[in-house]
Amino acid sequence: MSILEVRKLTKQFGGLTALNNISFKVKEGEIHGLIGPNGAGKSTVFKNIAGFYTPTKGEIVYQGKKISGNQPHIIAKMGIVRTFQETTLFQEMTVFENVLMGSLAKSDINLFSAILGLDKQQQKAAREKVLEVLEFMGLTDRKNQLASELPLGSQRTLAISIALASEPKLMLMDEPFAGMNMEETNHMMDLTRKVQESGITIVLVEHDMKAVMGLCHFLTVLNFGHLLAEGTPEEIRHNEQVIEAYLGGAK
Amino acid sequence: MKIIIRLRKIIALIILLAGLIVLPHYLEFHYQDLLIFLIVNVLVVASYRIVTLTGEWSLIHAVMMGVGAYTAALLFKNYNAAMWFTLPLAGGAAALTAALLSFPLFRMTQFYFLIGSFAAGEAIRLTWMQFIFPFGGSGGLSGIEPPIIGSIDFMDPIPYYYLALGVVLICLFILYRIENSKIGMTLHAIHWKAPLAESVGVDTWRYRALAFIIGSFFVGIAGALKIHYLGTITPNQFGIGFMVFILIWVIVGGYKTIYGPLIGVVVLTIFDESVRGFGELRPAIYGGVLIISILFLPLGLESIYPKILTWCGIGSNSSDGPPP
Amino acid sequence: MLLEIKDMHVHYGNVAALKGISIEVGEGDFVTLIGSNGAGKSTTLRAISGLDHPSAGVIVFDGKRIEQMSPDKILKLGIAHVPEGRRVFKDLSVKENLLLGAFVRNDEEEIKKDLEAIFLHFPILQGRKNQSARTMSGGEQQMIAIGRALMSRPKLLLLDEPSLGLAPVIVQEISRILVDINKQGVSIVLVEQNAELALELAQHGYVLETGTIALDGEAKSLMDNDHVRKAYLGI
Repeated sequence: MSILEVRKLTKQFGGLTALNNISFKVKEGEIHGLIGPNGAGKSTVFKNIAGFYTPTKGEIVYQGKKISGNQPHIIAKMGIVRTFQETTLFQEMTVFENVLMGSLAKSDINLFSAILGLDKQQQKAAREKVLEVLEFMGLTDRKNQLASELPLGSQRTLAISIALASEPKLMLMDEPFAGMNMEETNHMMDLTRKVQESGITIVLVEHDMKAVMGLCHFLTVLNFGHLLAEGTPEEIRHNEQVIEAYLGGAK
Repeated sequence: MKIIIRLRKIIALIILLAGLIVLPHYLEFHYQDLLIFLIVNVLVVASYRIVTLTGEWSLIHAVMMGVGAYTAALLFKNYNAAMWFTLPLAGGAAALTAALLSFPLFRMTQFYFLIGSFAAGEAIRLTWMQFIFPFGGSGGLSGIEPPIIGSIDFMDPIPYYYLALGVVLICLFILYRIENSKIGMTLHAIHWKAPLAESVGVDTWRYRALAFIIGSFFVGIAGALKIHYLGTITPNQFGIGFMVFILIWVIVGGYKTIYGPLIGVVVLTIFDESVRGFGELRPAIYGGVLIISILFLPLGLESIYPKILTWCGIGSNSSDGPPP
Repeated sequence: MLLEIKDMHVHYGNVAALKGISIEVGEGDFVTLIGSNGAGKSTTLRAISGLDHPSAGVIVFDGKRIEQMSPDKILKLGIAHVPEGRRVFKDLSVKENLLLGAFVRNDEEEIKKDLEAIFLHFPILQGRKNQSARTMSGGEQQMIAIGRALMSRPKLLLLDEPSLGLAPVIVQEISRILVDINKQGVSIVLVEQNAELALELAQHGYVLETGTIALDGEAKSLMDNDHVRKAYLGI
């Protein structure tokens, strides 16, 4: 059963074709890797799925419904959340507030209950949810620290926690392993697996081959905006075209 | 510890309130006037703060004050409406105007928004200038009066001061509640990282518009409060000149906390009065102090407070304290 | 010795980022600094290039004390810094980006020669020299950043995580180019998260841990070191 289907997606910027007729399916509950050289169009695919771009041609179908053309916040409310390439957090807020933001963002605006303090129930539920997420991600000890004061590994963990607090069904992760050392990479791999095991489907863009090969159930490879190959990590590792365009001779 | 801090806060608040209540009785007539305008301007900057929370600085706030003021003036002149009606309706008219303007304005961000809001404001102001009926043209309208209830004539500064103080305190309380609610937090979040907020489901357009509408509502009330006391209204009261003053109060006071703009307006108003004796040199002195304050206190007057606390050894949790 | 750092401390506010490190780089050396995030690797590079100033300690470059000099003076002395995150001027063309690297020089003829030399290192940039940097991929932008640093004719090149966020095949290509550059006589200090790659490229390595140097030695011997293998190579 596929949760997400990208159908003949084409995205042009002026005369430049960034994505050309890309199709792939993401199975529910899996970690799906999206790899390829820099500039192959991986981030552009993400931005199309999350609603930051509108496809020039083609469509994106989520849980059987066409979602392309909707604004980011609407797609987020449907259960698709993205994390960003560069660590993107509310730097001036504490860890707790960051995650709280993730959990409250979807709820509706109610001015009067805000002024009169009538949303206590909702606030309490949100706070409990935050503590639960922090516990799950191992950030409980740091909950009162400012996001900007965290070491890089914890910042990445926090970025995923914010996404998790919005209760997504599908998480788009953009290079969560970039700049991490071995120890941090291992830790992040464990966390990613934990998130997946909790029932969330993950699409992962990443260059760290240890992480990609170790985590993903299925891989889609892009090159210059085209679909180059797809298959299991084992198949991709031995695919001549992928080795030439992306993996190189080393591994 | 928490209880002590809370108690300290409550005591400080009571002292401040008591001070505000007895203050006008020790002032000359001229200063009583000034105190009323100061209290109104406190609401002007506090309401502007909610607009700036999302990181968008508008140049239409002064005009929105005018929308409120003109609404109150017209209601009074044409229907002899009581102040209890004109105040909320003034806020409502400004909020409605803001809601309509938010459609074109919030398609823009940053610099374009700044200029767009200025243009929209000037268009409204020119309408007041052009139409003698009903706005009185550039001469404006006069004869707008505060109410008389029983034996209390609110034309006197002291009763009017209490009235204005009451209204402003209620408004400040509501603004404070909004800023410390989920809505305020979301506005902050949009300011810091709009794409991240969007990606977890925040409709940034609606929140930006909401902040603009709330800010306009309260500055509309401020406009009505001012005009009922002043008695005359002209389009020039709400021009770019006044807008620049609002910006200066906020910048000099600081905009990190809710207190910054309030400190700014109070301190600068008192300062401006205290150099009245210098005659023509007054604007130059005022300007000089502004430059000095921005150079040496780029985060505003509010940034002095934690420094004082650190010096006294009370709140040493600030990160820029002296090295051990 | 081309560069000699003695007992250098750097503070950010109250926080000590470096607590007395000593590093030596000889002429023609390829040295790498490895360690966890927050260990002080980038801080070391920033202190060498004058972006941060040490609170104590000495940095001697080419016989001159440089620890209190401004970044532009240090650049003129011959130290070029390629910061993390492929910083290029996105609206300028590739060629303009490279020429900006020669900002401190006045010798038109020599600059032209150097530009040609850089295109030899990065043939892919020559074909696209008039394109704006915005249209280039991450790998190509990293090449521009390195090329720009070379345009100042440095004796010492500081590189901060050049492999970050790049495809494996591009990382391999950039590695080859770095070795070439080093062979032509430019000394290199490389900061890398990818310890395996860094130790393969460099002759000498320093392991930084929480602001101090935990280990140093020949790159090959570090690769065989148990602690390094466990903590940084994941073997």
